[in-house]
Amino acid sequence: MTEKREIATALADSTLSGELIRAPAKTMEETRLIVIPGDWFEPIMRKNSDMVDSVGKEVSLCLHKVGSTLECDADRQFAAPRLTWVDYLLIVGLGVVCALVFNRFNFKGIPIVPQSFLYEVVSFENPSTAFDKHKKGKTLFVDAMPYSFYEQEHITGAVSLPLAIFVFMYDMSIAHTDKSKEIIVYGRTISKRYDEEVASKLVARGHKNVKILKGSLDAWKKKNYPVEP
Amino acid sequence: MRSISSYIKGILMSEYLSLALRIYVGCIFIYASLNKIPDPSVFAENIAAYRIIPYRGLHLVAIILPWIELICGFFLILGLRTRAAASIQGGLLFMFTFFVIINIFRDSPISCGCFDTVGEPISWKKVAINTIWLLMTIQIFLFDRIYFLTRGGFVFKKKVHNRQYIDRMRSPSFRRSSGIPALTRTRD
Repeated sequence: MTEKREIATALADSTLSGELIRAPAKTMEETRLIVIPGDWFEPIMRKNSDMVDSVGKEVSLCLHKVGSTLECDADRQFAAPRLTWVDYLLIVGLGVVCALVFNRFNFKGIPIVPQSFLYEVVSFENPSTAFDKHKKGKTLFVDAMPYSFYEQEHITGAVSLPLAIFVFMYDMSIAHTDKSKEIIVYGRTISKRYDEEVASKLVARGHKNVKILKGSLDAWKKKNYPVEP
Repeated sequence: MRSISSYIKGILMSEYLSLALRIYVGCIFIYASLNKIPDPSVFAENIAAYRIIPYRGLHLVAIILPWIELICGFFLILGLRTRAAASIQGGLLFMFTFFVIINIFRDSPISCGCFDTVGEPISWKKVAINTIWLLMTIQIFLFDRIYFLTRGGFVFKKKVHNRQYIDRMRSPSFRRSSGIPALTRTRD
């Protein structure tokens, strides 16, 4: 009775993994696999009780071992700290609060939503109109993108005026240009409107005819207008 | 005698390795955040160069992201909510790596902006480093067991049933009534 219970318990242990357990089997002499109907099984078991006992013990020991290993694995897994949305909320919430408070009192703090500079800019220019002006050569084209992007590709004849070093580059390149000369600024990405900011700075420095190229360099390139290098 | 593979497996699954990685990854993220927090406008410029984050959300990301890095770094080092911190770090690393890969394919002439304002140019080497750090956060997430101030509990709901079953099997009263000998625990 005890043995039966032990086997049953061990079998239950083995089912913990939820997977089929396979084991290699070896026979002492040539053997043929036969299928025994259910009503034959009981008499065979009774006749060979010694063999059934020994096999049962072997299986029981094996399954107990599997059960113990599973138990250890389970211990290992269950010792992991619980993971809930509260943890994520705690970290992100703390981060957001600290960031906003620090930004509020940081003298280098920035507005949460980027400010628009459009109100100072006169208008947008279509690429086709801009190209006509480019051909006449009377309009100054200004690339507002960072210098590395300008180096990679820019409208032919355009002047680089990156936002990060605007004052320095302005003094170097167009400070002495006629203030009434038409300037077309380009340089806009999904993340930043370099053109708006540079255009507003040019307007602030007294340039009266500043425009922004609609669609930036991408629209220019789409129409196969000249770029360099 | 244990095989080499089981020995390596043991090391990779070790909670002590997790502790070491926690300190290492935590320090990296704290260092990275400390360069970004004081001047969010510079960090915003660096993010803008990637040309992925929309204009309206750029400043918000530049303000908040370094603080989340800092808090996650501290949490990892101190052992507070380490699994959540590691998964957030892992998520950020995955995002950074993805952004770098996109810009490598775009052939963008930009610097990484990971640790300082100038930074090294983006490259496949940067992707490899980020991937290694990402694997470290995964190790921490899965195997970290040395922690403080946790509520304790279970990892996955499915395994709760197993745990309850094992507890029942372990109980002396159940074993006595069933005549089962005590289980001998074998740990490797």
